[in-house]
Amino acid sequence: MKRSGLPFLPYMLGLLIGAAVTLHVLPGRIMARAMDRIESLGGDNDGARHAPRVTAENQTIVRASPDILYSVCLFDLADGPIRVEATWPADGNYASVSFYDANTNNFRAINDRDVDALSTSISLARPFDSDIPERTDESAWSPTTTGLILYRRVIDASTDLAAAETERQGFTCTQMVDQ
Amino acid sequence: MTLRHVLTFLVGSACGAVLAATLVFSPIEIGGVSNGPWITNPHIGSSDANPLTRALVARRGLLALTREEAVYFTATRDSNDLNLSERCAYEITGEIPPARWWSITIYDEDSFLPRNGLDRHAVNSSSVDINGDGRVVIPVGQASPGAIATDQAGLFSLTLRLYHPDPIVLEGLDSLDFPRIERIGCEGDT
Repeated sequence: MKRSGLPFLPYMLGLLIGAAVTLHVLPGRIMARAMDRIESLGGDNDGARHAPRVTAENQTIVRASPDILYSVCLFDLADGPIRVEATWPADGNYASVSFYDANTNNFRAINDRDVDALSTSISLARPFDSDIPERTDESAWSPTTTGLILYRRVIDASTDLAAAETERQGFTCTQMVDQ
Repeated sequence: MTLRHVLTFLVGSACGAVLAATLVFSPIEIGGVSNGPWITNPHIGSSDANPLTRALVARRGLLALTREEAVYFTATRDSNDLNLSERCAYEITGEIPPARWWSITIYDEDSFLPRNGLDRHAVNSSSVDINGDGRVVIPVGQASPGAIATDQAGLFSLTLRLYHPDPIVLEGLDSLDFPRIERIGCEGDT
């Protein structure tokens, strides 16, 4: 008697491959969409976009915190390494600079307690970029050519918002130049 | 291999893609570590996260930090395992695990702050009174000024952020005492 219905093995193989490919591709697509949305907001000076304090009306990223000031740089290392500068809070609140690749992985984070200074310079390059043209305090190596850098700064009831705003203007991302 | 096998493979691939997308975009919580109503995934933000975790985080917690920097716990249900709903009032009571700074924020079903015109989406370690015994009482969905507002939140979730968590938090994600989420009452209760 001839069997009818779908062959089991090809179906299961397809099911597994389809699911695996989708799960592999989705983070990159979601990240690309978020980067497009950030790009469309326009840029501030020195590559950084300093987002206003998150409210229900202006939120663009899921699960953003209204207790944190966010600034962001999109990066593309195709033209070479990038220099990132950050100024840390004088009031002792948490702040960090975190680096995300195009697949959403957080491949490096540097916070205010990792350093002994009120500001830090960081070079961002690809692993095979052997020549970093400028000296910096810290280095980060991106697994992908594009991605984004996020500056977070906690604000609370006692935070001087004007001072916090001035401090985060010290977060910049600029193309390095050969010296 | 016959044409029938190829077509079956393609049907299977399409079903797999739909199944994966459904898992990622549905409100179902998958994997992670539970502590009462609070759920976290220690691999959030990390490159060693499995593909499903990475996709789930990209959908619901894009740009999260790794656990050494911050731990994120999310609750979609109260301590009696009932959905958190804007129709009900709650109290978060107990000790917040030790960390440099913490906050609790409400998000609607789409993981955005509820659009309700009320600037009461979050409380943090500097805005909440901590009792002498280290416990907090945080009203949710109540009219009091310090309460987290639930208006327009539907079936909502709460995210507890612990920045620079104490090492005992990372070691005891599922065993440490976490605050309870107690339902006080709901619209229509008699």
